[in-house]
Amino acid sequence: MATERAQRPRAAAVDSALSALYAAHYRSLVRLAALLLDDTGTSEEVVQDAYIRMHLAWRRIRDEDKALAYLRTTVVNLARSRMRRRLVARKHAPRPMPDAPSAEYGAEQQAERAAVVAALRRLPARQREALVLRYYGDLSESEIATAMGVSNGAVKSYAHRGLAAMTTMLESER
Amino acid sequence: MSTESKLRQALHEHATQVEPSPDGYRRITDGIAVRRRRVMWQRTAMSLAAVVALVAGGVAVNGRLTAAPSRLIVPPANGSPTPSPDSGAPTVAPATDSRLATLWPLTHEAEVDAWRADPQRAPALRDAKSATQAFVNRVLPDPTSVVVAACAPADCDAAARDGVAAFQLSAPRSLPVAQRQPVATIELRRFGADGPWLVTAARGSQGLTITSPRGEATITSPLDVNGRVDGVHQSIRLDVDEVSIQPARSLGSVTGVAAGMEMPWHASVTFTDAATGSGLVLATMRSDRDGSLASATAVAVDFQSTRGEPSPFAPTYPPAPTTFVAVTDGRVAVFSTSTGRPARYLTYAQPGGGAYDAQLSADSKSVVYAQGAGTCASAIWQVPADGGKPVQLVDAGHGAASHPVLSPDGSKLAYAIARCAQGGTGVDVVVRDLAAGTERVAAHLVDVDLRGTIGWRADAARLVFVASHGDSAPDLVIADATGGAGTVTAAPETGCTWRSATWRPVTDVIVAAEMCRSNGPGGQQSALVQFNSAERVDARIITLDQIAIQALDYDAGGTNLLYWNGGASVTGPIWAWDGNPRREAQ
Repeated sequence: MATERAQRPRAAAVDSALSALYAAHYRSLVRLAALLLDDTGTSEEVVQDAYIRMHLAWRRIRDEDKALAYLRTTVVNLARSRMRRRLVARKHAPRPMPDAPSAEYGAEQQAERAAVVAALRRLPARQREALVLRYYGDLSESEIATAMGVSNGAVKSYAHRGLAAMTTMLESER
Repeated sequence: MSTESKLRQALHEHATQVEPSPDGYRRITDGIAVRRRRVMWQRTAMSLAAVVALVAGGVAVNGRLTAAPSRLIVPPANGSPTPSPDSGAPTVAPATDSRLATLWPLTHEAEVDAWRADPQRAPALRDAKSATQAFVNRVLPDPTSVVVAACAPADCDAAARDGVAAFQLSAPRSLPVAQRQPVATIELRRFGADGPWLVTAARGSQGLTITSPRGEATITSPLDVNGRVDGVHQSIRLDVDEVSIQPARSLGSVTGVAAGMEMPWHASVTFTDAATGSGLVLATMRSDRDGSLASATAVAVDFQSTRGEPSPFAPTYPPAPTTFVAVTDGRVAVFSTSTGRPARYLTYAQPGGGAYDAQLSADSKSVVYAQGAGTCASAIWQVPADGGKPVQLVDAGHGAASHPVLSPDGSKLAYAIARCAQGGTGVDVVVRDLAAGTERVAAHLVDVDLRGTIGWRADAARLVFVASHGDSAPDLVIADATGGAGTVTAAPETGCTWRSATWRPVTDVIVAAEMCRSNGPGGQQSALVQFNSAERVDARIITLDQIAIQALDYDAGGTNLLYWNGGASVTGPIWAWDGNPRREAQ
């Protein structure tokens, strides 16, 4: 009985942490996964699975900052695993931006953005992960290294090669 | 603007278009509950074994205790399926026909003829609902349950005209219809236009299944029974019943506790000789609170005493495959179906992306696979199934190649390719003549992603696959392999989306997997449906709760259908069956 009593507050604390982490980070993690996978449904599945794993591993994590790093790493790993079975990702159908100043301007911006995203998707998975985590996630080099499970040097290398390849691709399309 | 600035801006703008669905938190908590149950089961399996031994120690058979007490055994904590022991295992009766594989109450054609000729014939068997109610009254008595149609009235009428019917046993009857839970689905067939309605299957809800003995097996006492259950702590009662037009009579029973997430259970039950030749093995779960029926599953069997005159209608089953091919850690491997582990690796890990989408050829002599992890430098290779040097069939550099599959005669290769030169937005399904080295595009698909596998028709004239279009529902596409004609698509059942499809070997039948919303655990289930040659949904074969079928393929013998369960929060072994719902083997 004593053990049961001790477990109840702990379970409540875990549920409360889960709820807080969901409210704070779920949407951004789904968007991060969508940039790696290009499929909202699969991205949601991946992020939901990451939250489930995080909840079950809470005894080891215990800390909301560590939990976010754990979630990011799990999302990247799960997305990588999903990508093994996928083709090169598709483009989303461009939608007008709500604050576009004019139709022409909006169309031009969207075309450029689509070209950038398409070029990103042609990169090898690790380079894409490094660029998405840096330029969408705004993570530091060591945070990216943790999320990808590689060294800081490898992050630098992936990001550098990825950026160079993207520059070449975008220039060749002009 | 630098590439870095463009990239940052594009990623943030692109990401704002992604809006998650609002039920994410519920799905997470559901997933946590499922995982918790599994963990709880693994931790308590051994202690449950002790409880089970006590509960199941004394078993009354015809009013007396058996000399050798029956027992219900939970599997070991590692969760590996419990194999059926050799001693006392049921033997499958020799058989020639499956026209009359029924659960209740007539099991031989002679009995059907006698029923037709009898002026006092049982009135309940004239219509499907009365037959269901009679079956429930005699085999599954439960005052809290109610028999309801399992389909819309118009659909029920149409099905009844075709001689098939299904009813659901729902409980508790005190609640409004929408709040009742399904207990079991009871399926019936009518034998002849004026024939009786006979119960052909009773499938339990809540993941309660019997995996052996299989339908139409000839059994002897003591009988070893294997099944699966989904639940933390479930009391299961197992009955061996004599079944006839007369009230059912239990010949032996055993009770015990089993638990787990899709976990196997095993029981041994002793029973007395049956007066008649046929019966059923019935597994039921009842509520601990009020004893009401929660789930019930039954399998039709023949008793040993009739071995001299076996039912001429029992089907025979082909052996389950002993191996299958899959990719693990980027390497193609031959797996053992009994252990679920790689028996041997066919390829080495390669830099630049591992292998994926491995497919065994129809003659089971070689495996084709893609290599390159979806990058623009993907290639397609072939390796002998018993080991050897891989040979490149499609060279790298054209795009992201995937889903390779050889035609039944091995002369052609179908695969999908997203051509990087075209920006990777379109996918071509290509057919390559391996002898001539020529290629033609069977289908050009814009803005799609292929799901599952590509399937060849036996004559290599057509292909079937599932194409997913962004957020819209995926299509099941049937394409002309010569590229001459257009493609045909078929719609899934309401509330379902296509996941994978393949052609049944040597036939003109397509088997496709759907993912459907469900009221059961996990909120979703996979269903397998068959198509006839006119591309019309013909019949649902089986539904599998909490299973997310991602790919389908037949084994080399063309008799066992393999599926890959790739659910996000549920993982499981690869299972096989021959299209008959009562045939299920790992």
